[in-house]
Amino acid sequence: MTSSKKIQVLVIDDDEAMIELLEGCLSKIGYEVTTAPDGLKGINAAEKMKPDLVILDLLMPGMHGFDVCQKMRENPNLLDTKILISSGKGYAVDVKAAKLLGADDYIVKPYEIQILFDQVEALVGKP
Amino acid sequence: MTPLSVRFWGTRGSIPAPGRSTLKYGGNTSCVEVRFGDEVFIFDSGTGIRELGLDLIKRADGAAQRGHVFIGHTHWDHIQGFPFFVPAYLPKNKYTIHSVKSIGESFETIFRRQMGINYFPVEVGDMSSQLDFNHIDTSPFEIGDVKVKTSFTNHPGVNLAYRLDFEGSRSVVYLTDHENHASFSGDSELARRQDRAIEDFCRGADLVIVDSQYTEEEYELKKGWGHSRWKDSVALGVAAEVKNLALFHHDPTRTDDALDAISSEAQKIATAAGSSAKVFCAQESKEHVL
Repeated sequence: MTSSKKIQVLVIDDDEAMIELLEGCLSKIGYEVTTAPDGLKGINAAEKMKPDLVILDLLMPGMHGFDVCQKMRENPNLLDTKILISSGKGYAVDVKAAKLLGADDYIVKPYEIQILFDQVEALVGKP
Repeated sequence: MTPLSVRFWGTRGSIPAPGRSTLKYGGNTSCVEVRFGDEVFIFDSGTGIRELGLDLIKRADGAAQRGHVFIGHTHWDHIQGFPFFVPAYLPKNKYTIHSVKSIGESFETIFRRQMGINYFPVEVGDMSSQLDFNHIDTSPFEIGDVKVKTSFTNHPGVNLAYRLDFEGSRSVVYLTDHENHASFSGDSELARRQDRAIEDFCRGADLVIVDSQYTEEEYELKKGWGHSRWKDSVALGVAAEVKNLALFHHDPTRTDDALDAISSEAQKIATAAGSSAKVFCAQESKEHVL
């Protein structure tokens, strides 16, 4: 990652309020944020932009977030992209499944925004 | 108008619960038949599907059978009856099995595996009927004139709820293996939005078959197991203005007496909340005409 290029974050979530919140907060501190409202659009966006980080919801219209995660991990062009699952589903099985499918971390919604910042920073560094 | 009816063949969650204390509501695991004219739609293939299969053969009287099986997810209580679904062994029959990809594997792979050589003497491929697997997500689709909608539920892993809309604005929702979001994750704007989405999915349905596995006391111990308190399910039915609410996926420990008491209390709660819905605990073998 060079200092001249902003760290790119793709948020895939169907919840408009969550999209608005993450886009606002992450942009404000210097990340470049793109959003997608469902898994299919998210995969297409990820293939085009090859983001540094994908923040991925699980329960969305169309594809389940686990399927999106697996498809991204099967794409050799996205091997360097970190995936952070962001879901209201905090079941232990889901956390385990996310890891199995290649996600790098998991955060359970709702969360304090600072906790998200810390996890994002741990994955892709400071903006 | 084409006749529409629903019959429960298995109402239990987790594991079959046969015995003297469950004779009225039944001991078989999840299986519900929706009949629309001559068309048969089946929700889940828990152990209840065995008796349904025998009944279908009797009703067909030698004729070829067609049907659709909608599987919510591949936990045992939703698939373990399929090896004993006799119509699937008859060459003239054709069934389409619909479900969603699970954790890392297609549902077909998982579904077939339960009949792998170490688990059962007959493999899915040895069943002589035509079995088609339809992998779906939550995009709506149609089967003839029937509109099928699905929604992911709040359950460990991946699970689908189904809504079938028929002619004459009649609809049936099958929403089991779901835990109320706010009860699970705490009251928040997000949890309320998620619960509202489920409410909208059920809105105005003629019949909603809903996960109601736990009492309040049990939920204290089993919060996060992916099932709802029956009182949360009654509140959902009232808010979604459903016409009939079948409390379903009964805990294997729940006796007939306990379910009678829940039926009665649930109806009182709904009525007191201003709902005109008929609320009851789903009872094996019972048919409801819509």
